[in-house]
Parts: sequence; C-alpha cells; structure tokens
Amino acid sequence: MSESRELALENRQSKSPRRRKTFLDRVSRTRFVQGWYAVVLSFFVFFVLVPTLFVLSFLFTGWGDLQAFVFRNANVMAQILSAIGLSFSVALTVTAVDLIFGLPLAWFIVRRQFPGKSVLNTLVDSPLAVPTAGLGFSAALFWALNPAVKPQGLSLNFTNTPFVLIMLLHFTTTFPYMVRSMSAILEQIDIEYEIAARTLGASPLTASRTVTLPLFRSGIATGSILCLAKALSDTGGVQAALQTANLFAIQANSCSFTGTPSGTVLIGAWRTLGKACPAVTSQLNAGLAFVAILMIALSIGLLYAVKFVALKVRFPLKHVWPGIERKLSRGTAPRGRDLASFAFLVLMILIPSFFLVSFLITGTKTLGSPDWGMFGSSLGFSFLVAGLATLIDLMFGVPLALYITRGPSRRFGSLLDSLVNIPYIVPSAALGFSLFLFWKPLVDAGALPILAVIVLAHVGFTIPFVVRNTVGALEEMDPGLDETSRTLGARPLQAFRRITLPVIKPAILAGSIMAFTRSVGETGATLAVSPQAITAPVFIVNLLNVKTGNFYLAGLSVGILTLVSAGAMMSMRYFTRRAR
Amino acid sequence: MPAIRLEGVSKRFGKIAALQKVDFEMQDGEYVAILGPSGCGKTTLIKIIAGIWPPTEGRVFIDNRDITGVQIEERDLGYVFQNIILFPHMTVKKNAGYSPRVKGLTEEQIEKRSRKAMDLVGVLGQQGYLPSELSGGAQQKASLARAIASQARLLLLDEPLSALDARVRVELRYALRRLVKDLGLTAIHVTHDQEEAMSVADRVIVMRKGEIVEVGEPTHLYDAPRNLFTANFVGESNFLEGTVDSIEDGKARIELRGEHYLTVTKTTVRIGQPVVVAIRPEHLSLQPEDGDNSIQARVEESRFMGFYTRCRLRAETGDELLVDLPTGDPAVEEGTDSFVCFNPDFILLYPRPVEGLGEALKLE
Amino acid sequence: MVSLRAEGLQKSFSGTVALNGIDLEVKEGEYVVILGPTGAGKTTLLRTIAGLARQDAGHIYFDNQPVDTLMPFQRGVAYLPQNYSLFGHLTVWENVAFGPTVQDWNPHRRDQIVREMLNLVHLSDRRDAHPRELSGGMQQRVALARALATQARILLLDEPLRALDARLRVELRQELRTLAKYLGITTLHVTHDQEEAVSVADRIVVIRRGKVVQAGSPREVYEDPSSPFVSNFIGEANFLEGILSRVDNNFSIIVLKDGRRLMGRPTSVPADSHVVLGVKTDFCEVQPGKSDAQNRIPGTVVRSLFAGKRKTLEIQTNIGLLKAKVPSDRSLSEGDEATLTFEPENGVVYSIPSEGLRVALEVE
Repeated sequence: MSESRELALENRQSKSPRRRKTFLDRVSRTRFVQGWYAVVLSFFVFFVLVPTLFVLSFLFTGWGDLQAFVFRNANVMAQILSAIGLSFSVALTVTAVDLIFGLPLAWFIVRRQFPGKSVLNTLVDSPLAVPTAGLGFSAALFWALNPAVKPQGLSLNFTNTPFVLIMLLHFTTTFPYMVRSMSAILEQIDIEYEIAARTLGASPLTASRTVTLPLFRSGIATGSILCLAKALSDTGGVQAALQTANLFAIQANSCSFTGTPSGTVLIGAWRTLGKACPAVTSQLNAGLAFVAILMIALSIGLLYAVKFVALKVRFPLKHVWPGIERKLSRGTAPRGRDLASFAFLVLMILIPSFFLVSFLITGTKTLGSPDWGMFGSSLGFSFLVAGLATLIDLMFGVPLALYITRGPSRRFGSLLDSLVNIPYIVPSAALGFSLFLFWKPLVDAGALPILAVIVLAHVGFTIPFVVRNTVGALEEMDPGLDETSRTLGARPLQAFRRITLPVIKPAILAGSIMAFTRSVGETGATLAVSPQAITAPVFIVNLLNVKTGNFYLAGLSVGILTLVSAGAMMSMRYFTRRAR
Repeated sequence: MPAIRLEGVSKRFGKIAALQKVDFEMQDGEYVAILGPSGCGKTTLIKIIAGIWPPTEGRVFIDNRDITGVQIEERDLGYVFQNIILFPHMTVKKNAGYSPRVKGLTEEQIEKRSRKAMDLVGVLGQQGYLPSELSGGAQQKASLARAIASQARLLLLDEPLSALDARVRVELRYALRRLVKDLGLTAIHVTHDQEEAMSVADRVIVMRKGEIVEVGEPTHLYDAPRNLFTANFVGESNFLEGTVDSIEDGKARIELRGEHYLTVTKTTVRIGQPVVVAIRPEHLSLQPEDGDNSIQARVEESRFMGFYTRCRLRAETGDELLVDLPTGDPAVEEGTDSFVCFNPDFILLYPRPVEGLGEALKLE
Repeated sequence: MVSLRAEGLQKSFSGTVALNGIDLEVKEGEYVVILGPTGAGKTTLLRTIAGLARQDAGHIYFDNQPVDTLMPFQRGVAYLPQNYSLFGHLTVWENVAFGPTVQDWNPHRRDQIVREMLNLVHLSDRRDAHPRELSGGMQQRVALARALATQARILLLDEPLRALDARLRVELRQELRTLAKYLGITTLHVTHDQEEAVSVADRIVVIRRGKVVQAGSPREVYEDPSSPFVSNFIGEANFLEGILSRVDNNFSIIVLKDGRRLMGRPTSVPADSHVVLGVKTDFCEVQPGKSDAQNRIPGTVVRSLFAGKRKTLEIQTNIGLLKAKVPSDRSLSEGDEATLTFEPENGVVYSIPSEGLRVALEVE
C-alpha cells in the first residue's frame, strides 16, 4: 500500500469524532439553506409581486368610486382611453419597426468579423446611458414642430402629432434592447447549421431564412417583449418630449392638464395634481386606479400573447426561389439592407438621442440662478434610491436565481422565472401607484417611510435584471462543477463560495450595474409613489416647463447623469470582458 | 485527371499555423482517409476543401478547376459533420429533401431523391421523426442521407463517427464504405481513429502538426510505415533504442542497451548510426529458452484480450515490451522470466529522431 | 479497501426507467467495468452509488454498511464525471488540493498528498497551469489526481476516456488501472467500449436497458456469453437461425432453413426449439474454395476491411451476409469463392429471443 494511503488512514482516524459533528451541522445547514430560500421567496411574493398586482383588487374594493368618478364621467373615460390607446398603439408600432431594422443589425454584429466591432456595440448601447427624460428632451428638440427652445444645428422639426413624436422618441429608448437581446440569442445558434445548409447548395439568404430564422423564435419573442415593456413603461421620456414640444403641461392652479398624455404620464400627472389639489384627490385616485388596472392587465395579456404567437408562427419553408435568393445573397441587396439598418440607427436613434449636445454647446445659456443645491440633492436622492434598490436586488435576486436553476422542482423554477418578469413588464408608473395603495395604511400611520416604498417600487422593476443575468450564467455553467465540488467534500456554502460564485460573479456584476442605471433613470414609479420625491429625472422633467422651467439647466443635468451612467456601463463591460 | 488537388495550402489563425504548405491529390472514385491526432490540421484541411474557410496561401482544384475562391454552395459537395447538425426543426424526410429543394427541383423530384437516399442509408422507416427522437447512429445515418440526396460526386466526412458509441461506430463503418463504393462517390474521411481509417479507406494520409507525414495504402502503412510517428500512431509498436554495430550479408546487427543484440534483415543503415528498432506486438513471441534474436525479460502482466493475450514484459535492456500471443498458447505466469523472440522479417528500423524518441512519438 | 454491494436498484426519470432492478457486487480492491450501450443506465447507476442521485428503490452498502442516506462526501467516493468538470479558475495544484482544503486537513499533510498525487500522474511540472492550457489527456489526469487526493475508498469513473482520441485511449486506459491497483482503491469504471472493458477489468458487468445481463471475468463474458446481445456486443458475432435437432453432453446439432446441419456447444435449451447459433467472428475461419470441415458455409467474399493485425471479410452466403476476422496476410480478396468454417465448441446455442433477433441485438 502506498505511503499516502497510510497517511490517509491516520488522518481519517484522527478525524472520526469531528466528522460526526460536521454531519450534524451539515444537516442543520441544509435546514438553514431551506429556511433562507423560504425567506427570499416570501420577500419576493409579499413585498414585490403582491403589491404590484394589488391595485387590481380596487376593482372590487373601490367599485363604488370607480362607478361614480370614472365610468359615469365621459370626460375622464375619454382621457383614460385615449391615453391607454396612445401607449399601446405606439408600443406595438415601435416594436414592429424595431424588429424590421434590428434583425439585420443584430445579424451583422454577430455573424460578421470586422475591426471596430466594439465601437459599433458601444454606439448601439449608447442611448441606454442617457436618462429617458433626457432622450425625450433631445428627441423633441430634433423632431417637434415647435419646440419650447430653439434647436441648434440640423434638425428635422416636422411633427406636431403626439403619436408620431412619442413613437420617434421610443425608437431611442427601445432599439438598443431589441438589438442586444437578439444578438445574445443569435450568438447561441450554432453557425454550423447555416454552413450545413450551404454545403447542401443553399445560398446564404435561403440558409438564414429556412434554417436559422425558425430556430430564432425565442430571440424574436424576447426582443419584442423587452421593447414593448420599455415603450409602455416609460414616463420621463414621454413627459419630457411632450412638454418640450409644447404638447402637454400640468396646470397645478387649475387642477388640470392640457394636452394628450400617454398612460404612464397620465398617472404621473394625476398623482401630482392629487397632491396639489386635495379636493379632487379621491376622484383622481379612482381614475388612477383604473388606468393602473388597465395597464397592468393589458401588458400581462400582451406578454403572453407575444410568447404564444412567437411559438406558433410558421415560417414558409416549402418555397424556395434559388435564382432570386442567390442574387439577393450577395452584392447590392444585402448591402442595401445593411445600409438601411445603419441609416436607421444613425438617423432615428443616435442623432436624436444626442441632439441636445448641440443645444448645450451653442444654445442660449440661460442658466439664471440655478439651484445647484436642489440638483445635487436630487442626484444624491437618486443614488440613494438606486443604491438601496440594487443592494436589495442582490440580497434577494441572487438566491432567487439559485432557487430557479437549482431548486428542487424544474417546473416551479420556470414558474418563478416567469413571475419575476411580471413587475418588469408592468409599466413602472402603474407599479408605483399599486405599491402606493398597498402601503398607504402603514405610511399614513407613520410606520413606514415613503422612501421605503419608493425603494421597493424600484426593486420591482430592477430585480429581473439581476435574476435574469444570474440565471443565464448559472444555466451556462457546467452543473458538474458544483456536484464535483460536493463529492470532494465541500459543504453547499463552501461550494457556492469557492466554485459557483467566481464563475457567476461577472454576470451578477453586470446585472447589478444594469439595475442601478435603470433605477437612476426612472421617473414614473417615483412620481407615482410620491410626487414630492425629487429624484434627478423628476428634477429634470420639472425643469422642462415652458412657463416656469429652465431648459438649459435640464440639459446640463441630463449631461451629468449621462456621464455617470456611461461610466457605470463602461466598468460593466470591463468586468465582463475580463471574465472571458 | 485528379478529382482533387491541393497546392501549397497553408492556413494560419493569428500566430497559429494550422496547416503548413500541404500538397496532395486524389483520384475520382477514391476513398481517402485523413488520419491524425487532434490539432493536426485535418479538420482545417477538409473545411478548406469545402470552402468553409479560405486558405491563407495555396490553391484548391476540383476536377482541374481552381475553386479556391468559390462559395460553399457552388462547390457541389456533400458534407457530414462530427456533431451531426441535422436541422432540428425538420423531420428526417425534410432534412433529406433539403438539398433538392434549395436547388429548385420539382416536388416530384424532391420526393424521389430524398426517398432513394433515405432508403440507401436505411432510415426510410424513420422518415417522420424529428432528429431529437432518434439515436446517435440513426441521426448520423440521416445526415448521410441528406448529404447523398444532393447527388454531389464528392463526399466530405468530418469525423462522422467520433460522437458515436464504439459498437455503433463499427456497424456504421461497414455501411459507409459500402455506400460510397456502391454509389461510386469520391470520399474524404477525416478521423483520429486509425482502425477506422484503415478499414474504410483505399488510401490513408497521416497528418501531424499541420503537415502530411506519410501517405499510403492501409496495408503499407501498417506493415512498413516509413515514419516513426506512423509506426506508433497506426497500430501499436514496441520501440527500442540502439546503435548499428555491424552489417553483413545484407543483415544489420543492432546493439541495444545492456549489450543485447538483434539482427535485422533488409535495411539501409550505416555502421555506428543511432537507430530505433520497432516491432509490432503480434510479431514477438515468448520462448522458455534463449535463441537467435531474443532478449530475456520478466513478465509483469498477462491479460486476456479476447482472441489474443497481451503480455507486458520488462526486458533486460530496460525497455517495456508488449507481446500479443494467440489465446490458445500456453499461459504465461506473471513474475516469471522468459525470452522475447523478435521475428527478423518484421523488425523495422528508423534513424533515431533528433528531438528524442518521446517527443517524436507524442500522441497529442 | 472497501467492498461495495447494490441490491435491487430502481430509478425512473419522468416516465423513463433508467435502472430496472440492478444487483451488483464489487470486492475490495477490485477493478470492475460497467459496460453497456448509451442509455443503458450506466451513468445513472454510477451517480446513485456516488450519492448524487437517490434511487427510487433498493439499497447500497459499502463494507456491508448501508449508505443510502449519506451525502456523496460522507460516502467517501471519488467521482470523475465524463467531462472532468475541472475548476477553470483554479490552477492544477489548487484543483488537486481542493478536496483536502475544504475538508480542513492539516496543511502539511495536504501538501504532501497533493505532491504525491501529481507525481503519480506525471504532472508535477504543470502545477501552476490552468486547465484550459492543458491537453485532453493531461486534463483527465488532473481530474483523476483531484479525485484521488481525498483518499476516497471507492473510485467511480464515468466514461473517463470518452473525450480522448482513439490512440490516446489505448495508452491511457492502462494508466488508470495501474494507478488504481497501486493505490489499492476499489474502482467502478463505466464505458461503452468493449475493447476498453476487456483490457482493464478484473470483472465486467454488462448492462442493457437498466438491467444486468451478464457479469463475469473478461474471459467468461467473452467465451461464454449468456445471450446473443452479449455475444455480439463484446466482439462481434454471426447468428444462424435454425431448429435444435439433437442435444447431448458433447455437442448440439442445429438444422438451418436450407437443411444444412451445424454443430455447436452442448446446451440446456430443449430439443426441437427454434434456436439461433451464435459464433464470434473472431472464431470464424475462411478458406479459399471449398472445405470439408464439419461446420462449413460456402459463399463469396464481397468485401474486405483491413484493420491492422487482421481483416474483416464479409461473405455473402445463401443464408445471409456473414463476417469473419482473419489474419491480414490471408490472401483472400473481393470476388473470391470461399468457405466460412468454425469449430463446434465456438458455436453457442440460444433460444430465439422473444422480441426477435434484430431487436435483441440493437445497440442503441
């Protein structure tokens, strides 16, 4: 027998009494782990999911109010229906156009090798660094017929229709999401399928159309859902654009507003008016509840409808036109298609997103006496909220992800996965209002600070970033790694710390940076919970007021916020690349 | 007129040279195997012939036509992948019918061709199944049917059997050879399995580190490999280092370690030349007494291997020797001494490699 | 050294039965190979023994102590998964030291063990490398060293050589056995490759569709296969259907469809049954022209597949296509008239399988 085995026997004998003790504490640790999962699950259900959907119960509890103030009031009904109609019609149109121009771009990025690819990736992502209020301001400067301030440089001011303006704005807020998610999924489709098709005589176009595209369903579904969610949810951008274009304004004195808001802007406006005009608060609350209910129900319905359609749509595989498709595979046709996508990217996304830079540089610098203190505190407040929300996201999101991928039941795991997406798809203003209603009793009694409710609202729509990223990394990880570490004697926590965590750390980091950035840029949820909470985007939107505002200061604030977000995104890129 | 010709083909990926100035040719109707360890460049070579990767240097000719810049879909060849790569959203039948369809044939022609291909390969009964519902062997057969249905004259097989169970590989080997020969196709079959290469191919090309090491018919590569690496990679061999002591009557006397001597027939070596003696396990035998051309050795292990018994011995030269004895022979006891007899007609001689024997024989 | 026993193991996954009543016994220090086609349940069996999966029914004993409720680590098993699962962010040294580290061993003893393990697998000079810098064979050795460093009492190897080149497998399989024997560790080695099984096992357990079909030494399983499946799975066999006309203590007589009479081993199958006579291709001889051997089947050679030492001849006879493995230097080629012969003692009689011969022989 080798010397090492003798050593081992000795080792084992001297450890036997200790081993019995570790067996005990392993058992209790398993209970501890189970207990922790239970806590995390309860937190998610009772502090995030239920409050998000709480407003739906208003249909029963507030039926009287709804009847009195909403259903019987033709004006109010008209306002609500037109706002909702505007939100959903814009969202659907934008998603469709994003699909058409985004697919070739995603294809180009994934399949082609060319120098400067990272530059292109950065360009596509760049609008994400700008808070949506800033995007709204910039887009209005570029597209609106009569913006509140004079635009500098070449602009295409041509539209006065809210639908068109908001649609143009939402290209900038949603296109990066479409391209990113499609690229991520396209990368996972083995290129060998296309190669196999080509060895069988298919031209590249035929191969992509008949082989890759049908395999790409989930990419189209995911991209569409993300786009729809973002377009429906956005408040700050729409409000900023409409106010800059002089198509919307809140008149606190007359307890009303002028113009045609989208659903989420309506929520923000009525919440603001509710605070300013206590007389009509209960009427407004009924209206708010109804808008929130409609938006939540319709968006969840839309989510499942898209998933269903993406699964069921049949691609035409029977018919092939070899001659035509061969011609379209090379030469002018694909080049034209790519050119169109790039033109879309530049003209519809990049220029409108950053157009306000020209205003900042060459516009009338009417700073007046800027309240830097106010700006500073709003920025600080934004960071506080975002920081707390991200922390909670990490504390509960990572265990949730572990539970989804490694939990006892796969079916429960995927159910949980889809439940986590609900606070994300629900428009954040509606989510905010629902939380406001849910926590109102405690807040009114002074037992819960309003800050907590704001943070919880932000957790709702940012936790999916952490969960989804972590789930993705966990699913990509070789399951044998954790198992093997356990056969080697690692206890579950040791295995997690030494083996799993190092592998998923980049994904967790990326998720938390995305969560932080998203929270910093959020307007709607904050307004819906508390119109008096001035985060930086709220501060900016308030400045974009034709009568009492300061557009230049707004622009400057947007710039500063953008730099902060851009810095965060760069560091995220750095960490994920280092991990490869 | 050679069906395929490669002239000075090189391929570099950044700093890594996957192929270095490869020249080769093969005739119409030949079944050629490209054999070598992982990373030797064999897959790179076949991908260049298919047009999947362009060569960094050199030209590729099919039927004397320079096709170096021609697109994949215009090269008229069938390709079978190691990972099978059947279209997962299509049934076996739709997969088989893919090539005729994208070439624009009529429904009737598509039906006829796909049927014929599936029948030849033996998957007609499973034509309605999706790939995920089939076993590995059936999947690979289906992908073969898909490649044949294109009616290309040239078939490229990229490690077609590597992903399958050992037993399934043996079955499919027969089927492949039969199919290729019956249809009169020209085939290039890439593999790391030397037994597979020898059993299917008319000619085998041995590659290592981006270069062609040796080319020949399977029997020649096995019986008289010209290269030390081939002697080790194709089949198994014993290797002993020595020096040429004297030459007489066309026979050379080699001095091994520990002053043991072997006589070798038909060689072209000089006196004093450092050499390596190579002999296959089945050309050694065990005798209880010393004799001509034998070395004393101690039996370390004797294992039943089916139709032969493999004995592992430690020779007095210090070398480990593997000897294969027919199962019927008297049993050999572990720990006893014996004499290993070298059949002089089967001893091969090679110049001692400058990089050292270990390096020259390395399999990865 | 530890003995292992499994009784009546059952396990199903969402409707599919993976283990269907498995009984297994492994003595102390034995090297047992579990052999079977993909999907037979081998990996499930290994994982159940390791404690990574819980069986639905049945018990597992180490040294006669039940281990069913113990976690993998508590059982003292070293488990080596198919793809090695090396910790990519750790060096070779840190990988091997992982087990002792998380078990809080005395650092001095831990370092000693790690050093010894790395020496045993010849990787001491790569201790600071990361797994991705190593070749396939080296990675496998790191995984082995890591598993053994915990001084586990049972080694479980899940297709340890699957990911490697064919030629490398032949080299490394001996190292596995040598290492296990040196350390005196009881080993269960799972594979689908029968040649690998025969070359390293003390005993082979053949598994198919969740059941043990035969267990025995390599010799027993090879020379005395208990079913047509085992006969064809280990090596290859020809099967001739007929009626068992006579049985006595010395031989059986089987009458084929065309009236030909063949002699086989004595059997316990009752006379007048519908039977199938199985003869391993290794034991089939082929003579040119005619023969007057007792068991002879004339035919024409239709294909010859060279495999180094021997070649496989496919012979078309009036009772079907038969195969035989003969020495390569036999001068028989395609088109020759020949006769396939075999000794009566090499013909094993089986009753016709109820599911039909073709299904009974399926390897997937």
